[in-house]
Amino acid sequence: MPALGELSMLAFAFLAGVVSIILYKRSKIGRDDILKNLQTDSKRILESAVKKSQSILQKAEEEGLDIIDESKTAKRVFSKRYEAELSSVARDLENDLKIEIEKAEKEFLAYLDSLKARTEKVESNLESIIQSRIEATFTSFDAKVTELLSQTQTRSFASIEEELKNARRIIDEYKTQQMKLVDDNVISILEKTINIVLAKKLTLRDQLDLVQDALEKAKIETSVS
Amino acid sequence: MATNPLFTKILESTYTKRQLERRIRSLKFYISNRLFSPGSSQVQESVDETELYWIVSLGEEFYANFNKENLEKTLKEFQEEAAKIEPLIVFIAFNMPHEEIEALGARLRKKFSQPDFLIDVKHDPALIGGASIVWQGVYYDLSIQKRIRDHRVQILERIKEFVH
Repeated sequence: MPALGELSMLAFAFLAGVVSIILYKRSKIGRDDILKNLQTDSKRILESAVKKSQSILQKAEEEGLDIIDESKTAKRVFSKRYEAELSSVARDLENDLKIEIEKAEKEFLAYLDSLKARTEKVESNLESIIQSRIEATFTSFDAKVTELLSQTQTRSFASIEEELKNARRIIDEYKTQQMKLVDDNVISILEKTINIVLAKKLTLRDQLDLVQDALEKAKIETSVS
Repeated sequence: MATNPLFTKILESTYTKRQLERRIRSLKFYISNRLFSPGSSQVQESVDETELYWIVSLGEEFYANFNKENLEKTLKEFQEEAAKIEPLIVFIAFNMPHEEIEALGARLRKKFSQPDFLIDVKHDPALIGGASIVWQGVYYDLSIQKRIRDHRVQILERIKEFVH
């Protein structure tokens, strides 16, 4: 205990100081004789105090050394205990950790198994959903293609029929126009022929008679008067 | 109906619109010469013989109504009266002789009982025969061409029957 030794020394020094102060005060009162005695006494006291303090210091040192030895011994004991406790705790912890790890591993494996099972289930579900959607898409696509083809076919037929109808109409119109043209030409040729023939055959008298007849008819038709 | 007796006198022997217009011009020329250049031979030289014959046929009584003062005014009245008359336009297929046109005009005038009735004869060979007329803005076709066209269907059927 070095701290105790130091305290003793300090206490002793303090007492010595107090005594010195007291002595100094007494010496003021007893003048030089007294001062001498006092000096002698104080010297003796001081020497005694020094001796005592040295003795105390020695004792304190010894005690301190003892305490240090004790503490070292205690430290060793404590260290051994501590080590033993620590190794016990470490062992316990290791065992617990092992158990926990095994448990966690088992749980993890179980989780993995369940995850695998769920994944397989989800995969299976997804496959069936995808399959059904693909089938539905194909079915819809087939239906749409069929409908589109049907519509296209219908439109094509309608368009062809319309085209044929138009073509027939155009042909009929052309035929009618051509027939009318032929008829017009026939009538025109007939008129020219009749004109040429009548110009040669009809006399002036005949022409005048025809004019006369026409004007007679005109009088009847138009009531020229 | 013409109100001027002198114009009526002209119309008595005039049957076509063109003839009337030509005769009014000839009369103006003839009367002007009589009044302003008596004895001149310009009329005989310029006017057609037939027209000259017609001018003389009107008689001295007709010409006694004209003098230097009223000549222009009277002839202007004739032109105005002539412009008022709407002729019967007749289209025929042949060139009708002048005298026949006059005869036709006379016959029609008699037939229609209109003393100031005039015709305007035009030539259209396409009519073949007969005539077509325009009266008061309306066209009436009485030609052989029209008859042929009216019977177009029947004629074509006959021709087709003949061809087949």
